[in-house]
Amino acid sequence: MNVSRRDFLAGSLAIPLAQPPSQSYGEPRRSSREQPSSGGGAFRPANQKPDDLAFISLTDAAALIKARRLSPVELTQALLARIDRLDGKVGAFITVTREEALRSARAAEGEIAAGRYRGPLHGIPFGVKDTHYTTGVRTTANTPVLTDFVPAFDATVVARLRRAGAVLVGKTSLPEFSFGSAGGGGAFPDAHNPWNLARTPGGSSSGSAAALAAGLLTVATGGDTSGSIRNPATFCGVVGMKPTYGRVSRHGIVVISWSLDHVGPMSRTVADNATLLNVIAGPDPADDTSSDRAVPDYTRALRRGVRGLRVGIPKPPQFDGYHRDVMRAFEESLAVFRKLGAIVNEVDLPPTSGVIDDVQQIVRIAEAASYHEPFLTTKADRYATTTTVRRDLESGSLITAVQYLRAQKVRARFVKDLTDVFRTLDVFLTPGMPAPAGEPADVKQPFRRMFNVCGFPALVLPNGFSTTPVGLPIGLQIAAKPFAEETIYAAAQAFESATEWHTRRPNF
Amino acid sequence: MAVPMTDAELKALMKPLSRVAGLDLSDERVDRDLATYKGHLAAIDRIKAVDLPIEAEPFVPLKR
Repeated sequence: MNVSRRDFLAGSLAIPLAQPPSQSYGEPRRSSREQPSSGGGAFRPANQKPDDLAFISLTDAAALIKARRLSPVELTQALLARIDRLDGKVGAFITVTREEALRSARAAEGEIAAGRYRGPLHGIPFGVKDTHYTTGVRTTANTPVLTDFVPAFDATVVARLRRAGAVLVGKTSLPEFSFGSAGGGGAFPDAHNPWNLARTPGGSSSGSAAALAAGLLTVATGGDTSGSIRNPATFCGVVGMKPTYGRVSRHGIVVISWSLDHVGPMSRTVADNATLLNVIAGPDPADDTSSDRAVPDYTRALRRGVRGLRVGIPKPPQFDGYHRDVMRAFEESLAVFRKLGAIVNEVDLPPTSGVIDDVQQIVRIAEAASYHEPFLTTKADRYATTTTVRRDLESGSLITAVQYLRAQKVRARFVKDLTDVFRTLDVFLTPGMPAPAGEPADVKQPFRRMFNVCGFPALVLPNGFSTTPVGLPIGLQIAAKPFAEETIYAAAQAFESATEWHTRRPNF
Repeated sequence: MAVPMTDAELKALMKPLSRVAGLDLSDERVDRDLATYKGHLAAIDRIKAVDLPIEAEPFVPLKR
């Protein structure tokens, strides 16, 4: 069915944004670009308790900071105190940049008090995966190979966040060199899932997801080569976006695979995610694969709604092996979308989707082996002995150019075929993960790596909790065609507004 | 593999391949890496089962 832009917009206007859980702060929710203008002057406390600040949204915090009713120093101190108290259990951080954070927060407070408000990230604490280069702060990728590596420059993503006035609180945990999920060891201890500390938070952006779920950060970034933003975001019950390839610069990020690596925003709400992408997206002369396409204001898409939206879902055999609770949550989510006016249809995926994880495996490991060649030839004995990273890389070094190019030819075919599928769709929905954190799943199609192979954007957000075992988050994935992040945010916001999964907090 | 190879044949192949790659894997490393290498070869076999025309090219439009 074709829907005119007018119909789509008209339908969307009927769907309001969700009221934030922190309405008691006395600020009506506004889009990040609709904040009242700030003059200057001293901060007037709004009497927040530190625990309120742990889970405050970026959107709410930005409104309070701009109105000078919340001090960036107070917010940063509250999170640092909580990290002191709880990160021993969660293990979300490899490095906490305490002094630098307090210095940045004081500088932000001073600028805002002087009437120089930079925008919605000004004074907001954030964390980055410890693959992001940070000037003067070690960047370890959780590997003994890099424990003494102190970059001389910031990753473009970090530089953009600093320029926006955001406050770097720390570098978050990951498996060694971002290989696999948490639990494999490395130079530093593994992160744990705040919903059940005995379970994995997923990976590889483990610490970013765990920190958000535990209320240790306001927003964070992660990296996604095989699902490494979406997997931990699903397991920890937060929002994670893998943007279109080229939308966010990869410059200054420790590489897994140049053509599959993506950097993206992680948050507790969809609106916060869109606000963060506004800041980190855009062309970068230092990354030849970054897109020159202009960056829209993603927060403007949040009110569009989904009436008339064409939603594709996989056919039932694709879900063989999926956990019962995951499928229940998925069906309930589809009912929400139908109720909101979306049109849901099953679609056939291209035949090449059946081998796309194999394609991703070969492209990923061949490119990774090339990146690691200097390490493998000079310091192979420094890789962690508790992980399989060295083994994976050495065997990847034996893949021939012809074999790599064969995978790339199938990849090119898949991208073309999937582009054709998306001609009749606005979004494509799947479960975020086939099973809750740590539960076994033997599935034919996990629907994750395929979006790294094609570079299309995909976001996950919470859509339920498991009953067996009790209380683990479940996620919904929303994918779209290249550079259709706005469509994804519109659909995600409509779903989030109609549900309450994102308001639950772990008790640990 | 298009032509099945025994573990011993594969290990004998991995040694010179690793030397060409500049790694010169020891026998112990070859033993450790064998299962993973076999996994890569199995993935490559499944990829090769996709029928592509001779005109197929490996260029993926990454910058859209």
